[in-house]
Amino acid sequence: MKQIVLTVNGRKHSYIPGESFLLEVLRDHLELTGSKVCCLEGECGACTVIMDGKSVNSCLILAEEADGAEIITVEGLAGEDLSPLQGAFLDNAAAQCGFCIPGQLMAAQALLDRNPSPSRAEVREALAGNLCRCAGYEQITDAVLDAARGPT
Amino acid sequence: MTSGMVGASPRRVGGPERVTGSQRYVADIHLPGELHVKLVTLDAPRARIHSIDTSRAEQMPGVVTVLTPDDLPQPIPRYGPQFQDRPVLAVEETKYHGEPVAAVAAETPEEAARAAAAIRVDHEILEGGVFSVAAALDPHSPLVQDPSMRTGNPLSHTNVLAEHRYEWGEIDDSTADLVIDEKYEFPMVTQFAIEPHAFMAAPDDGGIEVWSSVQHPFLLQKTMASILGMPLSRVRIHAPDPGGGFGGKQNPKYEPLVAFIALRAGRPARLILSLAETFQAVRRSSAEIRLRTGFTSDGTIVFQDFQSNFLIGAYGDIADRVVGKSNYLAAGPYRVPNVRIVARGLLSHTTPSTAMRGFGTPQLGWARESNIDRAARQLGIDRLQIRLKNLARAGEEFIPNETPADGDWAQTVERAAKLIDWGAPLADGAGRGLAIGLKSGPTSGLSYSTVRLLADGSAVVYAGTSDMGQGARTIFAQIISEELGIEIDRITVTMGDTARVPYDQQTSASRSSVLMGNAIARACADIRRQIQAKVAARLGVDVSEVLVELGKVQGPEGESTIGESLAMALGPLGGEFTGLGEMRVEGDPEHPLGGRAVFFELHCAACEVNVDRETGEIEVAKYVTVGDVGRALNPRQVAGQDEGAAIMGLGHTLMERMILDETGRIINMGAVDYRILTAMDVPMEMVSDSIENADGPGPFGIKGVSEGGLLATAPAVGSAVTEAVGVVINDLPITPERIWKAIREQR
Amino acid sequence: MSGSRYERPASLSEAVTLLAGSDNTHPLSGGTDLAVAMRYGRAKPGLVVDLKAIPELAPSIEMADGLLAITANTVMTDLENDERIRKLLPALVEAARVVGSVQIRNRATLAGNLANASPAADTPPVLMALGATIVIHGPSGIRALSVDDFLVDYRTTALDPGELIVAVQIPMPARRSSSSFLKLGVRRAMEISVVCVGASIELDEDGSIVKAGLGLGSVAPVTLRPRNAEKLLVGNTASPELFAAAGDAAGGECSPIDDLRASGEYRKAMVPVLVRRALSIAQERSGVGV
Repeated sequence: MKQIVLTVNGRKHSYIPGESFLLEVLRDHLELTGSKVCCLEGECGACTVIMDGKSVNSCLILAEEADGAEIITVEGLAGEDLSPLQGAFLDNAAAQCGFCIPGQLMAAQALLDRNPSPSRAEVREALAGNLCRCAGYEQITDAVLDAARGPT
Repeated sequence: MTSGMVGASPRRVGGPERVTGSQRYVADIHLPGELHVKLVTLDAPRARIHSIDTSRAEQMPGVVTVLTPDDLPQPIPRYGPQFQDRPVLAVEETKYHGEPVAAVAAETPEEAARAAAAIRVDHEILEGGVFSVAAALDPHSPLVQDPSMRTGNPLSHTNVLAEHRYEWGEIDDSTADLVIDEKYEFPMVTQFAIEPHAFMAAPDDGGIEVWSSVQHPFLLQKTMASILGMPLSRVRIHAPDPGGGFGGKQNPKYEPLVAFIALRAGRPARLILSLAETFQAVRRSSAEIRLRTGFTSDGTIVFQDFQSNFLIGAYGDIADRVVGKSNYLAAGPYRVPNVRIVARGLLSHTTPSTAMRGFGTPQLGWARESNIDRAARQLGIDRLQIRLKNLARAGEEFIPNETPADGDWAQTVERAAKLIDWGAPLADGAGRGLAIGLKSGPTSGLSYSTVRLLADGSAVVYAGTSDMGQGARTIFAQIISEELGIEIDRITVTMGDTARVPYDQQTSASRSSVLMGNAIARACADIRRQIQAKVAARLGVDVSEVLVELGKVQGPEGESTIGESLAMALGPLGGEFTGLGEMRVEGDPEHPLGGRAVFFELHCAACEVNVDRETGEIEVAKYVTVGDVGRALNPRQVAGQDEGAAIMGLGHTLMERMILDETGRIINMGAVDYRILTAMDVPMEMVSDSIENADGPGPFGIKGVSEGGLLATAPAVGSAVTEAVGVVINDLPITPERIWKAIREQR
Repeated sequence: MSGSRYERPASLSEAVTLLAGSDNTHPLSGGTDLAVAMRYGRAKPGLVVDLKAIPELAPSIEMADGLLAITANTVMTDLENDERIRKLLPALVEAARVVGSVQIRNRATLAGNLANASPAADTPPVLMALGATIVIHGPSGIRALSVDDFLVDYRTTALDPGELIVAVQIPMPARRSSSSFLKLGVRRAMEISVVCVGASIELDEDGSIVKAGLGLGSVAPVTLRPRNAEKLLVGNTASPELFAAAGDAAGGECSPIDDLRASGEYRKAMVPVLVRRALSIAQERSGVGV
């Protein structure tokens, strides 16, 4: 198997994949466990990462497919401080059990990156692929809209 | 004097970890030398196992151990929170689709999966399994449980696990002007926590350490100690915050199995279920309920006559308690002089049901509230007024010898009606509905807490509660902040490790803010007493001259904060104050539930829907949820719990249902064909509100919340659908197809 | 563990050679279905040929010679975000928008949705209604097929070994024409349809229907074209009655089965409703009133 080069949260990694899918590469090889395992079929969004600027389900990306890609995971959202989006999630109590939250954040960040001032309906549509059983959908949507509005 | 933490909504304690990905759930933790476990199951619910051939699997790369029933202590250990009936591996016969018959441990998950597939289970599929209430009640059906499991029990030769009868007054049809007699169905649904169940076990020098996404770590500790024959002191349960529980993670599941593997291999072992496997591990009990409700022509309820059959699954788990506790309150928050409730838990060849948010109450509320709606329509009485007319007043003993109505419930209902614009004109195809739910909180309980006030005025609290999303850490920190006058970010909340925190009975029934909350408040009071004694001693005055109240110390020399007096109180050696708190509700052995309700969760749901007459599609345009919470200690979290519960309730109302094929296999395991609501399915407008009269038994007058929001969802929506298009649906979920069918049949 | 070999050829000819090279090969673009099948062992390709480095297939939506050409690696969100498609082919946007989640649509391609040949797929009914052509490249050169000829049976296409889709071509809509797509399900997102309908119509100045295209999803083993309904429409003046009659005809042309999502009976009853509504929306969009 050939070597793969992957940039994750700004850091370059070269390795020969032992894992089959990007999600396992992130979790098991790079020990970035923020991306979560739930349905493993692209239905729940818990494994969402941003790949080359777009939100994707990392459970559906073959490890080799990610060769040359630039990936941002939830671990890459914060700098010195939490990102505005992360702060808005806290201010709106959007994280309950928290298990879906990394995926929600990455889907929301990808939305804000391409549409800095989305409507409520656009937020709901953008996050439709991220199931939350605590059903904090209202709080999550509020948080994304708050983050889009910026500090008040 | 307060620090202003009551009614505030500080950022969640544990929030930063949740938004940065650093929160460690069980599956995120790895143990050195760990093995990966895969369950071996059959693609049939009910099969007789003749033999298990592991020879090929054992030769496969990476395989370290294979566990079959023969490798376990004999008789095979059984466990369960109420009845010890669930075996570690299926004994001779599988009782439900997905029951493990063996397990493999290997170096990698892939190797474990390949080896599990290579195990040959010689088995014979047994026809005629019990998959429905009708089959469970049919005397010709096979027995799910061997009668020897409960010798001497008159029900042992039936599929009835237990029958509960509650009765007061006398049912007399002649006293009623109108009797509504209907049958209702509530589907099999599953908890669907986004974190699938995860278990790890590691041998620990004659003892065992277990990691589990469990809600009741101390119950698990007790189970493990008993099954493994170890003292409690050698069983350590690590319970990292669950990624959602909803009841499905209360009771031990595969921890004993993983522990046997770890002990056999002498290495740590982990089992992370797939989402599909969780469908075979936990679910809510389905139910068929026949309800006869008698009314006088002015809408007064004169009797309610319930026959509830709950299909509980293959093993008891906590289902009998679900049946008993929920049915005891089946008559709801109403003043009903004559009630008869006959409730059965029926064993079946299906996934063992367990606790799920609402604990049986949504099933009964669906029947009760729907019957009230029918009566209102037939009697020409407003659906809101008929409820208000019968609703118990504060302090009224609406169930004999039970805790009287513990709130001004009419206030809750009227608030919901106002928020939904009850009575305002509606567009064509639109309808409004309103329903009330009532659930008993805990009936007994025991929580201990330790609070340490450290020398610099910061504090650590130790509590055995599981924070599975309800926000217990934040609530506890708020209580300490208020009690000791400490800023919330100087408080550390330690949970989830039986070796570090004192005993707590369980995290369920919306109890923790009240029971553990009181234990923590008492630990804080203990600290205040100690401070009082120390300050008095150092000043050489009588303790009566020193007053230590919420956050403040008042002595002969004036007032200061606890923090300011701390150095003086501790003296030259420093150190800390350690407070102990205990909250004990022993219950009443004479009571049918073993105790009266510590508090009730009373909730009113109201909604407005639009229904497409041609397709049956439903749009919930607006949804209102109002709870009688005593006091919202953290209003933002209360809203999150109430709205989240309501949205979960819309799942069983509109779309959720586990589907079995004719052979009893679950055919919609997983996220594709078992649908829960997405962000786009949330009502267009969602309103939540709380009634706060500080009349609860918890600190600052709080009552428990967390389940209320889904208790009345289904009947509120059902009522609205009926107003919108004139059809009545008795079976959940209310799908477009069911509405379409009903409209067609109506023509 | 997939156990599959992986190649990412940089040219179309190399891809064809690889795909034709052995029996058990599978092309990969978005992978939203293939990856799941591989993860759960339902697909065990010996060789996966990733098409994403092939310049000719790179995401592109081009208009030329009266055709709109959508290359094989164009994903659903590309379609959703394309102003021209939003304006000219609203049905395609409506269908693309309900394929799974944004995460799925960032990967899933229009070509893949066709090649998968699922009867419940959302975009094939629209492509059928729009009269799209599938351009195929293979060991024996290039050929083009209609959607009807391309979709052969349940999860079966007309692709021969070594062949792959290079583009989907859609005739540019004429003046006074438009399209629409409707999907019925239980959930508003992430849903496999109970029934879905693609409709396109072209009218003359007087409101008479010149051309009509329909495609039905989830009512047969393969995306279905209700020919009688189409015939009934052409040459007649658009009207609610006509659309209702076409809907009834379409309902009569399918015999859907029961499955865990809906009964065949319900599906069959919904076809007339959805066809009628879809036609009416398309007509409204065409700007020609009734």
